[in-house]
Amino acid sequence: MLFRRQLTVKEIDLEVYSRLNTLKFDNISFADIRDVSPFFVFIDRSEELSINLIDAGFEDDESATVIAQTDIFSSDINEGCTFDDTTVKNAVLGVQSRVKHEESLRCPDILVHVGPEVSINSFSGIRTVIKEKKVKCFVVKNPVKELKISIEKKQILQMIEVIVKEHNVLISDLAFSGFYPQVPVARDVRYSWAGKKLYCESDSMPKVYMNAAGFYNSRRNERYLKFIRDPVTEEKSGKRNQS
Amino acid sequence: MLGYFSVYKSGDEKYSGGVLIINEKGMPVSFKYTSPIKPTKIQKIIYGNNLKSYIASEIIGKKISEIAKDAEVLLVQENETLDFLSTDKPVAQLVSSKALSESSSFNGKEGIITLGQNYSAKISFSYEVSQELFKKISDLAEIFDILEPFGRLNEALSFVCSSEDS
Repeated sequence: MLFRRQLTVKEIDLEVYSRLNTLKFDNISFADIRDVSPFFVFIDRSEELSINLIDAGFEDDESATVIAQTDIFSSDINEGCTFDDTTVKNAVLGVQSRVKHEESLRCPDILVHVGPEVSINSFSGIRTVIKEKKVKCFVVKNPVKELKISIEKKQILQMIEVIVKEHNVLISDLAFSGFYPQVPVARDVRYSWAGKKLYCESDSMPKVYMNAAGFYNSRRNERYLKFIRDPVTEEKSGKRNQS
Repeated sequence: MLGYFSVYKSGDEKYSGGVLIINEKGMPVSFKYTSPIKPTKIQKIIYGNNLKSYIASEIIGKKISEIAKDAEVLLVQENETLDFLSTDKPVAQLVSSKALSESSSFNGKEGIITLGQNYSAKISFSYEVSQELFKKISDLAEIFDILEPFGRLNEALSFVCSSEDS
């Protein structure tokens, strides 16, 4: 008959069989047998120095009463497996006698608790780099009531006449919606409207800027932009052309 | 020149900051931005609620301040961003305002700028500035929509955060 003690290590789902190293108990000691689960050797006091190996089996006339019990110790022992060395007290042996002495349990190597590897990482903050992207030439103009230069009504009427001719619209349908100062003027400038706002977009940086006036055709829901001829600007550009 | 500064946070918690420099005609001169920053979980834990302000001020703000040398003034949209930037240049919060005013007004630190016919903007500087600077900005507001570049800037930063090859 083989007595064995089963330790179930619940936390890591592992079962091991381990032997009791020492047990200060009068009539029980351990046989040191390798490669098999440890088993008990009972010393029968009635027959002093007569050692019966339980493993060999009992004869019918043997007086020893042995109750085979695989789970000798209480389940509390399982928890001991997380420690290198555990003292188990008050376990109940299969021979129905209470163990009042101490037993040292030693976990197998595979159960030796190894602390997690710890390395110290310093917190190095957050870093970033500056990048640059090319941006499209784009500007949004709001209409203003007046310009810094004075504009005569005559000039406005001239612009309206041009719009009427160019777009074949009625004068009565047109309304002045405001001035737009320093609007970029170049071949590649694309103009568009969002309500009264004028959007100017171009692929290259315009060099010429002119004041302009905006008109709204209520019948067609169209907007028109007319550049205002500024004598001062024209004079400057004329001198530039001559030179 | 005006510098528009913004810190953008994308849906997947990437941060990018940028500055768009606009010249006196309202045309963009340069757009510089920080590569997108994706804070790690540990950084989020460590910085907690201060994460955005940390990134905006210590990471993005400092770098942007260095590269916005051409700008006379840095304009921001959010009030908290006003505190992020440590620069020797004037920083101002510029937002649209419901206040309708025939002409611009200024008290040394705050002012109303008329934009077109029915619009106005409120400008709040981080410290008192000269009337001259305010007038310069309000004059520029007649030439172009000074609020509009924020939209373009945030759109560009959104693209930067979503673009893999940024």
